Amino acid sequence: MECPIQSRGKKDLLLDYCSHSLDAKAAAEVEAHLAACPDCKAWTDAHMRTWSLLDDWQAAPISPDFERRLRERIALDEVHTPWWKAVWLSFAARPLKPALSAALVCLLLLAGLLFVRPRSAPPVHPNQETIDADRLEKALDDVDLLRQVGAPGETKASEAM
Amino acid sequence: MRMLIAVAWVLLMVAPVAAQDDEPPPPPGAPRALAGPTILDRLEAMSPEQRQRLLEKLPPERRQRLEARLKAYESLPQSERDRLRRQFDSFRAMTPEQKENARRLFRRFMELPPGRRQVLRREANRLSQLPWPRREELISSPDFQHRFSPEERQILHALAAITPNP
Repeated sequence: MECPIQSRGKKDLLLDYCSHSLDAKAAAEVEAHLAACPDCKAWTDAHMRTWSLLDDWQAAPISPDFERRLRERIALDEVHTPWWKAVWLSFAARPLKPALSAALVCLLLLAGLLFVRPRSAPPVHPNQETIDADRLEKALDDVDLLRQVGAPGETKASEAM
Repeated sequence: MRMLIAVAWVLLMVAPVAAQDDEPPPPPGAPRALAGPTILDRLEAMSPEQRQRLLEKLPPERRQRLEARLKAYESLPQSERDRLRRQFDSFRAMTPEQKENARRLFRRFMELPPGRRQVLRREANRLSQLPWPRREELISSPDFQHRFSPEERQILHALAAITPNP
């Protein structure tokens, strides 16, 4: 038999032996190996001892009024907890997945509104943008036309031009 | 319930941000207000060196022509330049189609007899004192339809459009 400690992935065999879950034939093979392999023997003995100790351990008995005292303590805590903490705890104690999903959807909608929505151009410093000659000439064409048309409020001056 | 609370919370956070951006839409036909300086503002803010750099890139003939036009513009009285800047600001707020239409109408306006131009200017002056909805109402009123041809009414509309809303 191949040594379970030396070969990877075979330690389960020793664990099964310790928990008495091997069939008789496999258990006999392991026992034969343990007789010849001090490492496996030491490992198995240590496990057996630990499990034996756990089997012997007895949990301390709960006092008869434990549950009543626990409820009183919770009720007392609720009385002394600030309202905001109580609201937060009632909110946080429950699964938040649906609420968080809704909040995420709303935030995405908000982001869409903010970024997709056309906004007025931010103010630009007069010298910040260089003037293109073509645009300037086109603007001057329009200005000439506006000048010829004249201001509605400046009838006489415009007619004189 | 939790979902309602979450949605209400998000809406509360969003409301002030959204409200900041809620400008009333301009009346139909009215130019939109545009932020930022016009090309004329930038032109006036240019230093002599910046202007030199702009002009020196141009072919000599074009450069001379542009220099002359700039000189003519700058020789206008400040009040006239201010008026033109205001009108240009309203003009640039138009859509490209509206601009092209306004250019065509202004050219047609210049072809009218001087007396008729005088009448239209006077009427445009009266309209410019009114808020946008009232201007629209008057231009399409039976009185205007009787006194002005359809093209003249369009011209009045365009003239009113380059006059800022009082």
